[in-house]
Amino acid sequence: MFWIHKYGFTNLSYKALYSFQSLKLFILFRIVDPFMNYLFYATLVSAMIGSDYLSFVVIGNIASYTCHTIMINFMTMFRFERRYGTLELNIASPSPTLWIIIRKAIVPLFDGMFVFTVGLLIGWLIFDIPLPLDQIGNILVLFIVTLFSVLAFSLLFACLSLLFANVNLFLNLALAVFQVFCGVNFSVTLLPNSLEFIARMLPLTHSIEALRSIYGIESYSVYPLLGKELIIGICYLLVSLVFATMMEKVARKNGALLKSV
Amino acid sequence: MENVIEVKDLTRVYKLKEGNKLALDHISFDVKRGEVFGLLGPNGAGKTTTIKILTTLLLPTEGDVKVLGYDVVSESQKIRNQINFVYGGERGVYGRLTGKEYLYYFCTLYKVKRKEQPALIDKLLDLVSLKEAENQKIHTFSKGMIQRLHIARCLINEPKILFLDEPTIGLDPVGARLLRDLVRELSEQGITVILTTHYMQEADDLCDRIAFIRDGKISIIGEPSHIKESCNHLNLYEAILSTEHLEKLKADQTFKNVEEEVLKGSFVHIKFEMKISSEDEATSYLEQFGQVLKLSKREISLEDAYIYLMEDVG
Repeated sequence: MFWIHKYGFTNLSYKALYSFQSLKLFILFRIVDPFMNYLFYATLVSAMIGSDYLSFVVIGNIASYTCHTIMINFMTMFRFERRYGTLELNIASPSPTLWIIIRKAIVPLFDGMFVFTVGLLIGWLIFDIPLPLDQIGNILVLFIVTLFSVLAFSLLFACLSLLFANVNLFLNLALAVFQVFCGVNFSVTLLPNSLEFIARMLPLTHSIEALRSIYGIESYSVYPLLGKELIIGICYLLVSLVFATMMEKVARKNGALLKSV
Repeated sequence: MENVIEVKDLTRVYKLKEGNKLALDHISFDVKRGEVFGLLGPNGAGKTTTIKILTTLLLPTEGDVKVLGYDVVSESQKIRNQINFVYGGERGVYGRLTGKEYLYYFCTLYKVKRKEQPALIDKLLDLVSLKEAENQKIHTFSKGMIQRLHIARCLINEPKILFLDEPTIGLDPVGARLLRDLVRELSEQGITVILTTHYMQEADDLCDRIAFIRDGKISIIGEPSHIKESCNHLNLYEAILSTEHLEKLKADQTFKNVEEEVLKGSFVHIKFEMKISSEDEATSYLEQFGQVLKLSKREISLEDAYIYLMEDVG
């Protein structure tokens, strides 16, 4: 398997560019930090409207935190590429730019898988949200579909990072939009129709509803929701394919590939 | 010989907040297969912009640029497989990787078959004398080692053309010499090399042909000997004299580009340029500043030609 090969591209990308290289950092940022995040929202919601709503919020935040992890760390890799002056060396190689971007996504994807799994365990062990063991298959399918759609959306930002030295502004904006519009802390059905329409165009919205349904917190059919999430992911992927070629051309036109951070 | 690079009326304009900046102004030149071609000029002259365009990282604003017969705008992927480049300085490496890992990374990017990678990497590390440091993290490398690692990286795809942008910048004399020997070796293997440098001696030693770029235009192009010959009208002298009036001499408008080296006491070795072409007349003129012990005309170096041709460039 290419991703665990000692000298494989994915392993070397991880070693060269990834922020979390020690066990200490991993425990702090992949277990303690998400736990504090879930705890914050759980406490807030419990204090405001009671503990009945706790599992609704924790489940939403587990999905949201997974998405944050993938997107932020994926983008950080591109920021480091610029800082080290290696972005242009990658782009000038004969490998297609989109291929490079997608292969660099494997590490944040694994990271996201870890955060998601730990999140569900935290929910079970700390917040007393029983893990529906009979639904493991559905959780796995949801897991794959969600990671795909989030990754496809992240590719847009990776393409943008060819053009802009620092895409954090856009990324932070997108993450704030996700927090509000993807139904992390409340159901998107509470949004006005026009905003709900936008919310349903974003990745994660349907996944969160599906995950809550798997947990029996909401009562939607899981597979239609995952089908929609998959279609949204495919749409973002197609846009990214066009975007990658376009962004590279614009970046070559205005010299953006050569700018450092 | 066949042209591997053809540049016709290349213009590049950068759009800046304070207005447009013309970096290259209709430059044209060709490079032949197997040549070492030097691009020389002051900072901001347009050397690096030219290299970035030729390596497909930047698009021209106007003009036709062909590398190995392919257009840099529309056929960049076909070019990328057959060229490689090194930019001077310590950037362009992943400090957390070892030298060996770094080369493996680029082997994948350059689609070298996995089975062939170990042998190729061993060969390249040997070539650049980094075999002993192959498992050392790059952040512990010296500047010279990083430059040699870059050279190893750029040979991964057995390029037909190599672009070296100030490869010896910041290197100690030994490191610079090692790198020059490498460039010579690569050129002997038939690789076309495009080199930019600020070191004239280096360009004179390595380059078959040179283009001087100034304010985005090529001011002269040719073999180093021809460029020097084009400045044969210059009267360059060196002299040893005993003088107490060195400052007065330097202030005299007759002398240009005066370089002095105090030998001992009042004895000075000076190099200068002046309009007087006869050695006798030059000696007479110089005697008003002190006793001339020796005066002779000296050969024009590439640096002299460069200084003359770039005279009023900031």
